[in-house]
Amino acid sequence: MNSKVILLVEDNPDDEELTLMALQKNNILNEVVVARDGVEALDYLFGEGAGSFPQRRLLPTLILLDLKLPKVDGLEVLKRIRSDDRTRMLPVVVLTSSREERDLLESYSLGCNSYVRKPVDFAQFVEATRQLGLYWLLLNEGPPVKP
Amino acid sequence: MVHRFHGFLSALSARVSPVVSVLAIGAGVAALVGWNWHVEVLRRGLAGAVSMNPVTALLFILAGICLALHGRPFSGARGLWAQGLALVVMGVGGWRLLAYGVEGMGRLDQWFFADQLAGDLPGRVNEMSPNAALGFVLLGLGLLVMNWTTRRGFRPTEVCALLLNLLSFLALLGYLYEVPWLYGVVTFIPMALPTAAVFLLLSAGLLFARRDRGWMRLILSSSPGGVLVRQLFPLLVPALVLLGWLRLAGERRGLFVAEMGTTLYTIVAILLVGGLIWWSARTLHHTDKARRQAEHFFTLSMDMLCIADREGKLRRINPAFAETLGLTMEEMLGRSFLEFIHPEDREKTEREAEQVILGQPTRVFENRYCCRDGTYRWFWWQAQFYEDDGLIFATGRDVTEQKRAQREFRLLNEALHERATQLDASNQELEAFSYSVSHDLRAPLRGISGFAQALEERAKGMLDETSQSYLLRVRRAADRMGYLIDDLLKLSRLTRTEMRLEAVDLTGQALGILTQLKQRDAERQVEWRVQGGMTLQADPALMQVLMENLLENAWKFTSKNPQAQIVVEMSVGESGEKICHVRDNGVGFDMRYASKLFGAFQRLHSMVEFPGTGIGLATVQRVVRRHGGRVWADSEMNVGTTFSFVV
Repeated sequence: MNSKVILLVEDNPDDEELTLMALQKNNILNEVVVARDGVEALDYLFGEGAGSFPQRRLLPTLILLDLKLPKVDGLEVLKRIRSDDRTRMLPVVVLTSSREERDLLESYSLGCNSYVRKPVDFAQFVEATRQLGLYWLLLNEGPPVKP
Repeated sequence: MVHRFHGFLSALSARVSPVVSVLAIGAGVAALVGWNWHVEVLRRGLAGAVSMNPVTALLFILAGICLALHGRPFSGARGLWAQGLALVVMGVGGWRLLAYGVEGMGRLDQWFFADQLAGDLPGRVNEMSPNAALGFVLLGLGLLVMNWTTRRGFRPTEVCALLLNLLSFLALLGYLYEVPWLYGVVTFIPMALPTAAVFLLLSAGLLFARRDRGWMRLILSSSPGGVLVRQLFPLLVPALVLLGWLRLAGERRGLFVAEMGTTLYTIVAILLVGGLIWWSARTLHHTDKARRQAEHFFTLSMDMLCIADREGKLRRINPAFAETLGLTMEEMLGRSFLEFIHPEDREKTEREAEQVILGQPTRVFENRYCCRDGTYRWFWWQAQFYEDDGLIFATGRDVTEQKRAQREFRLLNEALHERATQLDASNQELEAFSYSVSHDLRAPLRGISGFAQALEERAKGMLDETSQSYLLRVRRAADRMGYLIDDLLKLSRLTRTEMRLEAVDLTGQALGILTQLKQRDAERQVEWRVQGGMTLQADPALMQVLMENLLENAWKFTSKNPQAQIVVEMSVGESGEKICHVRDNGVGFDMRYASKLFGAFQRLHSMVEFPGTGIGLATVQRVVRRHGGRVWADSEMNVGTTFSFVV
């Protein structure tokens, strides 16, 4: 049992299912917590247990963040993650359909670690997921966790 | 030339009054010195003639000082002194004059050197003559009212000066023609020669002390009148004096009798005066001719010309002014120009006119005049006030059309601005649209493609071959739609980016793209030839996209040809523009469809033969259009295609 948690922030149930499938296909067996909008994501990360998440929870090892979200959008979530000492170092991968220049610019200027455009073709998507997992969960040495 | 002369004249005339005051004081002092130290010539001027009375000498000194005081800017104290001295001169002269008629009045002129006065000439006491006393009355009065001008421009000082001038001239002529009663009066108390001379000088001093007013202004002006006065008087007066003297001398020496003398005198005087009149008439005629010729412009002018007095009443206007307003000259003359001005502009025009009268420098002034038909016209004015004439001269230009054009221009500009704003808004909408297309349309496609594949894997062995191929088709269709959306987005992004013109190295770009194509497609045998040193003024990023599309097309459509050839070259068009050509020896297309070639999603070949989305050439055309250029194609089936473009 891998104790590294992945936080997937995704409002589209199809994309959520496909992402989970792709992770499974690549034998990435970490626990995946799904937040279905920006508010839920922030609640998981900073909430006081008032939301849908239990009081005791692990900070995720990797955050997969969609940009277009209801309520609070992805860029706002990213801004909050980077402006809080506890989550400043967390690897955030922006995973989105858009390849608009301004989204790329904004994401990088707010400090995302990488930017992946979800391909239409599932096989390609699985491949992209595999590389992500390989890098962020196995090769990359995460920041030291504060006790 | 005229100006230089005028400057000289002005400088000279400014010195007359000060010099006269010095001479008068000097003559007075000299006479007193002559009395005191018995220097005869200083007080008589002429042997055997009567001497200047000492009181007369004193009054001359006072009058000279008074005149000198008048020559300065007036201050309170100086003014009072001058008025006081003038009153003394006038008072003493008047007193002496009265004493001739009234028994028992003090005579005043016997105060100094009384012992000498008695023996000035054998058998007669030296006195101030009645005409000298009158001269002092006139002189004192003239000095007293020096600064007084009536509303109609009449200056009493000038009359005093003129009378004084006649008085002294008469006495001088008497000495010249040896006619004693001319310089004496009934009881024969003669005026001394120096006295007469100083009076003559002082009469000039009185006039010249205020040379910028009244008669002197005319005499010194550059107008024909001034010129005539200045030329006639100095000629005529001495000539007539000389003529009189010659006549008298001739008669006295017995050369001819009085009748003959008078006849000769009259004839010569007529010839002389007539000649001068004739000469001045000719001068006037010429200057008037020049003036009348200049007047023609007044009637010819297309601009408004008008002359108005201080009250704004129109004294003269030119026909153009009346015609522009649709009025007649008679309707306008004599009325104030303010009556014709748009009510809203009246106040500012009045203010402007006041400034002009105060001598403000003229500048372009704008107002509206109202025409007979109730419309208004805009005029630009330039005006100046001429003190000499007391009139405002103004020229106006009808700028209604310019104003209208300006207004239209402004409206157009505003409309354009509005359009630009709208365009901006719709551009932003387009941006938002393409953004959401890129995001929202691709998500469902991922679902279709992804779940079709998942289904395919889960149902392996349960589905027959046909069903499997259906699922495969679902996936392919979704993938293809993904490409289409991507290409569309690229196309829209092309038109949204900022343009940046610079010299683009077309040769380098083409070679780079072809090399990449070769790497991607290593087994293809393609020969290419790219002309060296091709450059274009264009946006480098857009040109890259354009060349990529054209060369990829060439690459693709030559795939059936084992000896594929691609040529990139440049030629010069008729009007000197650079034309770029991309040639291939590929399959070509039917020129009947050439018009459809550049439409988005237009394809002239089957998907199976040549895959593609049909966006490539639309992209090319869009790039060319953004540069304001054009693109066209020539092709022959199975021979090849040439794409040419100008940017």
